[in-house]
Amino acid sequence: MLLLAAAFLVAFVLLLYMVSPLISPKPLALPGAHVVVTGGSSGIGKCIAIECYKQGAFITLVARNEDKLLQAKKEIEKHSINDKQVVLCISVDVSQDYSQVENVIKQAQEKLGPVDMLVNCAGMSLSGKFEDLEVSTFERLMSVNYLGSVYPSRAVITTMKERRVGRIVFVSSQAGQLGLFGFTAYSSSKFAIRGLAEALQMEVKPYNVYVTVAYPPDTDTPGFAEENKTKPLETRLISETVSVCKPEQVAKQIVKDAIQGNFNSSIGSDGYMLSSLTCGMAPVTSITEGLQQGCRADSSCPLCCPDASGVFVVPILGADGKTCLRNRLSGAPGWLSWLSIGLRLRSQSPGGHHGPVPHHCSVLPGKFRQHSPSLHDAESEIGSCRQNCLILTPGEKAVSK
Amino acid sequence: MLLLAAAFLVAFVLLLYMVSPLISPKPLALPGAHVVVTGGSSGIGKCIAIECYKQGAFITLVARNEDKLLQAKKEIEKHSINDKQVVLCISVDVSQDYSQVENVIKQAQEKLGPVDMLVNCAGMSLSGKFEDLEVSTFERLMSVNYLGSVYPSRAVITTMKERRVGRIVFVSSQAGQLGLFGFTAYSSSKFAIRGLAEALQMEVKPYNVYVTVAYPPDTDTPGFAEENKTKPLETRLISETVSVCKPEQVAKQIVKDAIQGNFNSSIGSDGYMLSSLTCGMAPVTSITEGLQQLFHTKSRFRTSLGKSEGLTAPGSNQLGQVAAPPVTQDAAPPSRGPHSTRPRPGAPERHHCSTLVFLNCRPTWHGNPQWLPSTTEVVTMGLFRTIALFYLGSFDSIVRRCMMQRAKSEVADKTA
Repeated sequence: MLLLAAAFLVAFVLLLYMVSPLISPKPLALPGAHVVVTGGSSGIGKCIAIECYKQGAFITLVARNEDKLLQAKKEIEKHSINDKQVVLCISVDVSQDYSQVENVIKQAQEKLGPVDMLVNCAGMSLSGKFEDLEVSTFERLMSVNYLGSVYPSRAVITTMKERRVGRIVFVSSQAGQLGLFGFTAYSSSKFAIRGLAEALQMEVKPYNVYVTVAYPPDTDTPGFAEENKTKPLETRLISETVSVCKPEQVAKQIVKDAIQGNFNSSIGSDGYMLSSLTCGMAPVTSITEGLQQGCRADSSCPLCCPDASGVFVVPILGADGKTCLRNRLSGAPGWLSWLSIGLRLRSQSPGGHHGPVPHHCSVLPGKFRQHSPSLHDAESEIGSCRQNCLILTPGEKAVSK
Repeated sequence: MLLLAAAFLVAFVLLLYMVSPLISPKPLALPGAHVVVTGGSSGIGKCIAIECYKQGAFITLVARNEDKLLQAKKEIEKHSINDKQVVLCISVDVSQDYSQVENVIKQAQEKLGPVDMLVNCAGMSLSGKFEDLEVSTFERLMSVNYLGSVYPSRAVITTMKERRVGRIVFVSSQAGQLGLFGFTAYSSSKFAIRGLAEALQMEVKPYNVYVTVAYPPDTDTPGFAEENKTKPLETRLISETVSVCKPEQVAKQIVKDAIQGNFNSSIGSDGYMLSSLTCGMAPVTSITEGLQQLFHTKSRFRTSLGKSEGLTAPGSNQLGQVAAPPVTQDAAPPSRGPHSTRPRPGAPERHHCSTLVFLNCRPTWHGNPQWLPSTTEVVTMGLFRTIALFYLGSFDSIVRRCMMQRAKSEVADKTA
């Protein structure tokens, strides 16, 4: 009886997987798309601009400092893939005045066409104990991080709704998923971005505009260096429990999720775990995202299977089952998707043999790792991973690559 | 074997319950306590003031409008239980200027002694479509709801930390747990309050100051009536899926949770489900809160957060517990829903930041099999998430329906 129920559930999940390409958001085609990146002159914003540029987009960088903008423009233009691409730089403070921001967007649209994707990456970070922070800090951080995301979004939203296509990306932070010592002002502003995004997504979903919120961890950028100057000891110690990410890595993940229209974008396995925990009532924009909130590949891992833009990578159930064991921790959806993926991979992998798990999960404690079958060594891992990767493009069934 | 394990676990839970009163946050004694309520002249704030007054507290009401303050004062004084109680009224805009707020708190402390409990209830609500809302609204709502909570909290926090006692209550909203159509500006400000509270709790926990965030649903108050004047159709339809609460009910729950030092305060069964779903990484300050969340949520990692806070305490056992933390005298987990047979304590009182490894959770889990989710929890959480997705789906369909109706009426207008 239980077996029957389980079999029914599994069949249902498999059906969902097959149907989902029909009901997921159509991935945004970056070649020729107009991408506006605020805060694009340094850090994560610049890397996102580079990432989009590499895929053929037309970029508009928006920031305050003109010199940094020009430098960033030179750097981005090295990655051009054809001679039509343009990088436009406009200097403005996105948190000051809405009419200025509106003008900037208008200018950009006159030159490069309507905005297809807006990346709200303008932000700053300051930490300190609640009573030690200057009172103006609370207002300043909220102004730059939150209002600096509201104004550009508001400027582009009407056009996006009319054209029935668009992506809005908000760059929050892991501090926007949980409050940390020393981040009273910063966490609040990043939480606010999340609230804005959730409400906005509900409003624009019927218009085929998708909102993505990224939650990057500590990332090695000039902004992070600034933050570290005044960080209290406790915050520094807490931050040391998570490793610092590279902005290129973060940017890659964000762009991938944005194109796909995923609401939550998290980086790394810690990010994934934190996102699962704190996903709460966040919307799900595709069935796969919903199911994957249980089971998802750690795409920041160097051993992970490569994927092209515009496809979503199906998680791999390795020979030792480590990937999905990790995902089992996230609850029932994870468990179900694990089961379904396991069954599907078993049936579709050549000869029923699957490659090893492509990555090490720092989340798993050592003791647990001992219980799993041992991993192959690194080289055969990479090789088998590439061989046995299953990558789905929307509209296609699973194809072994 | 399994039975033995189950029996052991049950015995362990019972032991925790018996030991917990010794290690919980000591409930704040309201008789004689000085409670400051911002936004206390109407709505939920006024009801909270009445509730505290009924239990013997000395109230300071802070709001902008002096007439409303005096009216509220008269209303509150009807509920006095002894003749020493005082209601003090001070008029100020808590969102304008920090120094003004600081002065107000100083005045109140000179008259009624140091602040024991601060209730940040000053707030306003405006809804509308993202592109229809005036641009100044975003700034205004953030200013009143968020900065209007930051400034009073900042003014009282130093004294509370010195005295090693205090409660700070933030009144967020269910819109601060999930984003809803029409609430882009409002949800952001209420989410911000939550972020502030979580970060603040982590800072003040070692000082025996506890932060509570309340998430009331739509409550029958003047503020709500204001909100309804400009509410778009979709938002109204979505709001109708939840019933409107009475402010007295909300106030009672908030005061109860604040006294106990619970971090999350939710009202009603939908509020409870929403809180479970969205508790995420919110801290747990009492064992009952933790247990309740355990029974119903995938709070494994969060309680690990709680445990790891006390991890370096010498003599802590393998589970990282210094001693089993608090249990509330009144809240009974059995009434809340299905039980898991695998309990785990909430956060111990001591806070060792240097070992806060919540994100990787390594030391906490080392050798500790308790992090494996129980079937009950997994199923319940999965169920909650499924229900949540259904709700979100229904909200989306409401929005879509309204959009189509509007398009149809536009076409009809054009052809007419």
